[in-house]
Order: sequence, then C-alpha cells, then structure tokens
Amino acid sequence: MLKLGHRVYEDELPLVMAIVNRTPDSFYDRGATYAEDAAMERVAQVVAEGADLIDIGGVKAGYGDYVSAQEEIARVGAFVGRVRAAHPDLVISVDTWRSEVARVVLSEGADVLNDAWGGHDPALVDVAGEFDAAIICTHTGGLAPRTDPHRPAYDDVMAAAIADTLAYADRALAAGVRKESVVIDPAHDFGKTTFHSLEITRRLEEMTCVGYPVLVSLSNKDFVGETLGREAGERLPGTLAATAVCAMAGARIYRVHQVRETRDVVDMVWSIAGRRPPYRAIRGLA
Amino acid sequence: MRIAVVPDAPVLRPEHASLVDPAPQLRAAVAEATAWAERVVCLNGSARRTTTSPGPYDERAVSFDRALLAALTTPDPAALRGVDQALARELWADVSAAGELADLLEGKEWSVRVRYDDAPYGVAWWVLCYERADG
Repeated sequence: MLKLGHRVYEDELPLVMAIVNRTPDSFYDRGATYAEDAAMERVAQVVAEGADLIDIGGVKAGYGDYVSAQEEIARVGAFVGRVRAAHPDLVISVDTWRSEVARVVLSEGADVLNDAWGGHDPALVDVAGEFDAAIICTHTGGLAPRTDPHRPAYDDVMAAAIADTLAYADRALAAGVRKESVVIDPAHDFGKTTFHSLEITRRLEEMTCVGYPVLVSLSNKDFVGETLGREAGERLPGTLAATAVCAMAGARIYRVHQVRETRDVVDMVWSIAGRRPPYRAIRGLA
Repeated sequence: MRIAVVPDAPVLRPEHASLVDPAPQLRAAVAEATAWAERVVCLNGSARRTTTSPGPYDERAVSFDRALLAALTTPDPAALRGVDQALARELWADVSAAGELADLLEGKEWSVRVRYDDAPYGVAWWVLCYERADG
C-alpha cells in the first residue's frame, strides 16, 4: 500500500508526477509557469493529460538568485491552497528542503514533501510526521542545496544511494511518518556525474527491491543531455529511454515535464513486464 | 437438457483480459449461456467475411454463415452433419463440433433462443441456447 497524504493506493500501478515550477529560472521551462495563473493552467493541463500527482517547486534546483524561505513561501504557499481548492482530489507534492516552507504548504493542503536535497533540514521529517504527510527521501551524497557536484566519488554509487535513502527513511519513521508514506529517490544528477546517473539507472532494480516505492526524476536532466549531446529542449527521447529502463526495473513514481509521453512509455513497459493488461487487445483473438 | 452454442474466441480467456473489454456483449452472452447450459458446444462462422476480417475476404463467407445459422436455429441435425468441412476450413470457420451438436439435437423438439448474433471483428459469433420444447 502507498499513502500519499489524503490518497491511498492499494494497487501497484505506476504514477506520473508532473512538475509545476513557480520559478523564474528553472532550467527547462525558464519561467514559463512563474506567474500564478500560468501555473494554474499548467496544473489543469497536466491533470487533463493524466498526471496522478503534481510537484510544485518554488526554488530552482541549480545555481541562481538567492531565494529566502519567505520568498519561497510567497511563491508556493497560497498557490498550493489555490490548487487544492480547484482540484480537491489531486495529490499535491511540494519540492522543498525547508521545514518552515513545509509547514505552510501542508497547512494549505499539500500531501507530499519532495525533499530533493536529501534531508538537509533535519526538521523536515518532523513536519511531515506532524501532518501525516508523505516524504520523498533522496540521495544527494551530502551535497548542500542548490550546489552542483564537483568530483563526487563513491565506492559504489548504488550502494550509497540505497544506504543513504534508507537511513533517511529511518529518520522519517522515527519522526512519525508512516512506512507506507515513505518514498525513496536515487536522485539522478544530484551529487552525481553522468556516469553515476547512468549506473543507477542500469542498476535501479537493486533499489526497487528494498521495500520502499522508488521515485525517479529523469526529465530532461543533464545526464541525458551529456549522454546524447543534446540541449535542454532536445532531451525527450533520451529521457523516455531512461524512463523505460527504470519502468522495467519497477520504479513507481516518475517526476516529469512531459506527462502524456511518460504515461505511454511507463504503461507500455508495465504491460511488457506483465504488470498491466493491454488497454484493448483484439488482434488475433477474435 | 439445456445446450449452449458459443464461439471459442480467445479474447474471452482470462489471460487475454484488457483494461477495456473489446467484446463485452459477447462475454456477457457467453457467461449467461454457459452458466445456464448443461452442455456447451463451441463453434463459430467464417473469419473471412469482410475486408477487415482476420482472414482475407472471401465472397462465399457470408452465405456460408447464413446457411449455417439457419441449420443451427431450425434446428436441422441433418444439415449440421452435412456442413462442408473442407469449405469451412477454407473460410476459417470453426464447425468441427457440428456433428456432435447434431447428435445432441437429433430426434427431439427444441426451442432455440438466439442470445447473440454478430460479427464485430469480421468473425461470425453466435450464442445460441437450446431447451427441450417438451421440458
């Protein structure tokens, strides 16, 4: 069973999490949904395209202008409430590492805290436990928020990702988060070289068998771009190839920019793996 | 004695289940008929009825199916025994059990109910229910 805030999933089907950035400078959308109305339109669009949940972000992951907690709250706090009012059943995740931001967005109706910076703020899990929220435990190799990796080194990157995310999961459980509300994420690109990200993709099954659902965030990232020699706007085929490999390994949640394409890839792989019936099969069966 | 005639369409098997059933009416009719019947006989008409049928179109297919359905619904055991099996194979019809059905029907009065008669994917599917007219 998986419980993401108000929503309980009894089945094992994959979920598509659509990225909704309330940032002026994120690497892919470059401020396209920074304005609140544009972000609301993006939410409606991704819901129509079949997103199971959304992930709202108020701070660009990479380097950029400093964004205070107050500014982050101004970007995402009331916006979560507006989305909740417009989409009462939608599962809402917020991408934040700050416990003070978490408290506000959970009060506004968010279900999930996506801590892309791997527990940098130790109080984040306490807020998740207090609000009975779900938490996504990522592996960053100890990198501080909004920091690019420089010569990261691991004896075994997948072993490190598993050990660190499980340790984070233990902290979440100790803080009162339910086991069925803990998700782990190897965090492609975060604290990793392209070679590391390729390796965790190739070995993802080692993580999907440890007992927690796995989220993968692959969408248009640098490891795709560096692997194929493609700029940010040209990485969809590479993203979908990595998505297919992760789906075969059993990743449960896919954090993406392109919902419809991801949905098709994940559903196709799920059916190839024998985990999902075809949509409507009659060929050769009449 | 209650007898049902149904097609042995693979789409009905559990291992071929889809999220959206391509043949819900046929499935419902088969489920009802097989639950009701004491004996079930599997056969179906041609799979070469149209240009979108599984087999290449054959202009003899529709008339073959029409004659076969008439023999089934009369019912006419002699006509069922006399079905041209070679032609049936050419037309991709599954009628190998026609003789068995004829033996079951022989010498008795039957009321026949056509529960399903359609070919949505170019294969003649029938669900027929036979009940002794004299009880």
